[in-house]
Amino acid sequence: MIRFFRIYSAFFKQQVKSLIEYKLDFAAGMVALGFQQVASFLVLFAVFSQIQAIGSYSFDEMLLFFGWAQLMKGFDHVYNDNIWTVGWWRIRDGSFSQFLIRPLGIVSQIVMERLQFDGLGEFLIGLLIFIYAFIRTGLRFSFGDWLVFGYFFLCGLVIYFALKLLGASVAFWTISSGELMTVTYEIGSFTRYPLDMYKSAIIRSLLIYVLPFALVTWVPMVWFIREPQFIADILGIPWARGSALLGFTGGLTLILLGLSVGTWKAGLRRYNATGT
Amino acid sequence: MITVDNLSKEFKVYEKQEGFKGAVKSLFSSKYKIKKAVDQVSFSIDAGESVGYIGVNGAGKSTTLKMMTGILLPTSGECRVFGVDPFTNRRNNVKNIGVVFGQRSQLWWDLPVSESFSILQKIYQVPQNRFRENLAFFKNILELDEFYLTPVRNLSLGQKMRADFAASLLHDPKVVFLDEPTIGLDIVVKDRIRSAIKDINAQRNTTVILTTHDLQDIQEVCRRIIVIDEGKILFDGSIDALKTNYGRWRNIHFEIPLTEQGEATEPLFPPDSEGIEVIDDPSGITVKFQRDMHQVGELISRVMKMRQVRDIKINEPEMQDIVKAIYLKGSAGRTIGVQ
Ligand SMILES: Nc1ncnc2c1ncn2[C@@H]1O[C@H](COP(=O)(O)OP(=O)(O)OP(=O)(O)O)[C@@H](O)[C@H]1O
Ligand SMILES: [Mg+2]
Repeated sequence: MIRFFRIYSAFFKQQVKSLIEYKLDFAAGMVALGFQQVASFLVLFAVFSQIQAIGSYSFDEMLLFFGWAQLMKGFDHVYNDNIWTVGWWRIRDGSFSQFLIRPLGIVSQIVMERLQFDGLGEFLIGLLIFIYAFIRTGLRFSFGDWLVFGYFFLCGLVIYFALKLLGASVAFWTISSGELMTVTYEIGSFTRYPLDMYKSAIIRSLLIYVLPFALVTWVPMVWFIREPQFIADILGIPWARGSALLGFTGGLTLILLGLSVGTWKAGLRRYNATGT
Repeated sequence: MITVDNLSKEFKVYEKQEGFKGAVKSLFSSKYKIKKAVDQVSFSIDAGESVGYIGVNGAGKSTTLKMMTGILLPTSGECRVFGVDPFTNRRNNVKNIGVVFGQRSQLWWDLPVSESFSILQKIYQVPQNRFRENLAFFKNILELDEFYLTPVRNLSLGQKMRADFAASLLHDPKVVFLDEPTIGLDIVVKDRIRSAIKDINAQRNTTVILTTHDLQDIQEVCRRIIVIDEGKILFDGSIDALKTNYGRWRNIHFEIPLTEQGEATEPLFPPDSEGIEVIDDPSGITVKFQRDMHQVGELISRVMKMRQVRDIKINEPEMQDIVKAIYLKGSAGRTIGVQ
């Protein structure tokens, strides 16, 4: 574990170094990114300010969802972006092999190889929106609330991670799975909006059980702003209230993680490299 | 010690048809052929040996190496590298081995060589002293200094190969797998790599397994060769044994003055004589013959009687010719087997 962080930080230093070396690039990139983020935020703001509330949610509550979703996605984007390369081209061109000849976990090698600074902007904007909405909605957290909060945060990251790994693993069968991963990821942005906005039971179940993005954004947020009964009703699971809901979320997260790690492992056995 | 026991690797190759119509058709059929890239291969290699693993393009060399390095899961058979199963115990195996694929660099594209090396030091947990020693050693024999701080993506082919080669040995592996380490290199760099391989084999007792299409590599570096063809082993033994077993052909070159050439005289040997071949060239003729079927003395005196000869040279068989003969025989033998 210590070795992991040592190597991680070595890669990190290198990246920062090369960012600084290409100063102009870096500055330009940051400015562009900042604009992009601010612009998307303004669009959202413009749309939302026309409506005072959506369904049973106030404007500030909607911001809470949005900020949280953005923050999670940004965080995941920063540390765990390199796995996309497996889906896009590493299997196809055989460069995946290089991870197999080093005495470290394959996934850790992939993760540590590149941090994606683009995600930093997403994360920061998300955080700002979240804090703003947090204050506006008048939320107060006890110590226990913070623990639950941290728990949801962790589950969310694991779900993102597992879905990406699962998507990338498909490439062991199909040679490339970038498109599939993109579609999955796009579906994730559905969950900027509350689950009960989707009237179709199929879409709801999809977002709970198949691509459980609802557990990343919606569940953690309504946990703090609605009654347990309300959540259980929308989920359609009468018993999923209070700590049972926490267990439900964690359980599904673990099942998904197990499934994706299993698929990954099975994929490794099929990996054929390329002819050389 | 490395043991390979009835190791096989099959690839499913899906049948594709030509053209757009063909592509649509093959979308709905899933016919495939089984390609046996490596077919029941067995050998064992002792610590400290240097082995050349050769064969024609597509013979199965790289595939064998990929199974021994834990990249590919064998379809059947077993392989142990210093007691470790390369696939199921990947992380333990790769600690013991170094790998160079001449076709592709294993270093990080965007990092300078220096940084790649220091990351490798951390990955393999090489003690600082040892790392410094190794670095000095390889910097010296491979002359890495001139590009040590350059990002890998900016290196020339030869520079990349030298860096890759050093990188694969920083952690003192017990065995190093070199898949075409001299491909595309100029003579000077080739020499440098070869002498580096010899050095680590002789001085550090590192086991070397090398594939190449340049037989000079083998002659200079390896004591033993394994020849593989269509996934099967054709020969396994020392270079000397190869020469005595397969090198039955000898060449005698007769230099004939220009003035004497071109006069159509009667043929030197009856046209149907076996184990003998006459090749004309600008400076005279070369007689190729099988050692076990003809006497050198007889041949020479016969030619001397019939031609004006200025000089005679008897040649040992070139390794290149022997190997070519094995390759050709290998594929011929196989086709006959099929009929
Ligand atoms: N990933 C793969 N999928 C399908 N077939 C493959 C794959 N890799 C190799 N093959 C086939 O297996 C056979 C052996 O390939 P391999 O790369 O081991 O040959 P090689 O001896 O290294 O040849 P070369 O000297 O050209 O590098 C070839 O016929 C090749 O087409
Ligand atoms: Mg090869």
